[in-house]
Amino acid sequence: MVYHMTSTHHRHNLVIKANLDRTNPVIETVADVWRTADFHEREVYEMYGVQFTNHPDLRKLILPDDWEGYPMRKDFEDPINMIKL
Amino acid sequence: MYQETEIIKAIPGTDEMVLNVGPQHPATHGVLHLLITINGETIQKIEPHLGYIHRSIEKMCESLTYRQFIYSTSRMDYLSSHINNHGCALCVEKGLEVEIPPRAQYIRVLMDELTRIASHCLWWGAAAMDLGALTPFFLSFRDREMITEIMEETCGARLTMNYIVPGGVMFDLHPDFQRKVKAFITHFKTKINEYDELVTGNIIFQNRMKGIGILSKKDAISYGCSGPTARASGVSCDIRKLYPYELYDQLQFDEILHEDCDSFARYLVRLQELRQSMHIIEQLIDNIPEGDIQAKTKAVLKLPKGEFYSRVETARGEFGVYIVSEGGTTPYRIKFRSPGFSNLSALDHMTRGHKIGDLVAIMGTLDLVIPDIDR
Repeated sequence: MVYHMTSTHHRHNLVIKANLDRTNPVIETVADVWRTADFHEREVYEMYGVQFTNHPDLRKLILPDDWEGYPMRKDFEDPINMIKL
Repeated sequence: MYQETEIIKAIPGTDEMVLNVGPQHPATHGVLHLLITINGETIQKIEPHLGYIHRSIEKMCESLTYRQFIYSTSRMDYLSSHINNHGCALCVEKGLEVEIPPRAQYIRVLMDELTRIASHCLWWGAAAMDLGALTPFFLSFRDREMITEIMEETCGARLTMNYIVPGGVMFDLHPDFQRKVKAFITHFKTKINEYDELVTGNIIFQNRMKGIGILSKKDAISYGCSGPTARASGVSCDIRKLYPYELYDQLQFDEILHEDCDSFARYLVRLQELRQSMHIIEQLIDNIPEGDIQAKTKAVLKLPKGEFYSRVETARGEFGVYIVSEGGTTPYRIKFRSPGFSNLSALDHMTRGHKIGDLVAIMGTLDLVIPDIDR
């Protein structure tokens, strides 16, 4: 998990990285610190399957509700729509 | 939520009901689906449902080379496609450590600002149309047409320019470019006053804009808003000033800030940005240096192993490109930080307590482009 943080006031840039377990990725939410994290974490949740604990509203944002699997993962195979390049 | 929903659904036991706006609705300017909880005419909550135009551009880019992936970003924020391309090219150039020839830098910045004017023109027409004024739409499209013609001559396309390559630009300028841009600036300088006369001073317009959709400075930062949306709340966030790229540190222009935090402030910021963009173009158009338009790069680009982040100021805000490279010819992972996505997340907060009619005014001043949100 990589967080990019920027302060336009102090002109600081900060990158924070956290290692997650691939089989069971769980991390604490930051949506209570920055509200923009709400949407961004929901996107990561549906695309990569990362569980954000204490997130106020962890539901699918972009994908349909009945979608299975995590499409942005490297090993994701979609038998119907897969285009091999 | 993709299952069949009724357009209006009452919530039993309360005075509230749920109203669906979109995905096909003229006020959302694209396939955005809003689930609005209303009490009478007052908005209690807004829940955006995205993904109707999600093409997974980030995943697609993982199988495209560094020369190819740039052009998929034209299809995200299609109104400032040139600036999106610019951001990607900057990120690749950062990895390759190439120096851009001065002529290419001038052309890039000129095109950036022309794109910004075209985008803000379209926004101005569309925002006024949302509030029921049809004439501005035709006026702004008349002016925007001049820019798209300039683009067509030089880049070969009107909307998705695909003009930038890593290391420079694709072709040299059309011989008529300077004359046409100057003609446009002279034309637009008189027309922008017409914009003010027609819409800005209109009392009906002002009454529908002032005090509507308040986004405080603290909230703007917390929601990660950028661009004119944040600058209207007093957040200094112009990437051209904070992290200057290309020529922007040598240019004279002001960062427009407003403290009013409402829809009218967002409107004023964009109108003043139009004047600033014209000012930038005037400084550059007579001084384009002669020389190469491309730096010498290898036919097959390979970025060194590592992570690269670059940002540009599009017409809507900060567009960030984050490339993780494993040393190959294609990126391992790409993340686009699109301005619309963060700006949209503030919509719920801004509209609570307002009437449904005001929702349209607020969304108009947020300047949402849906493919930019969905990616």
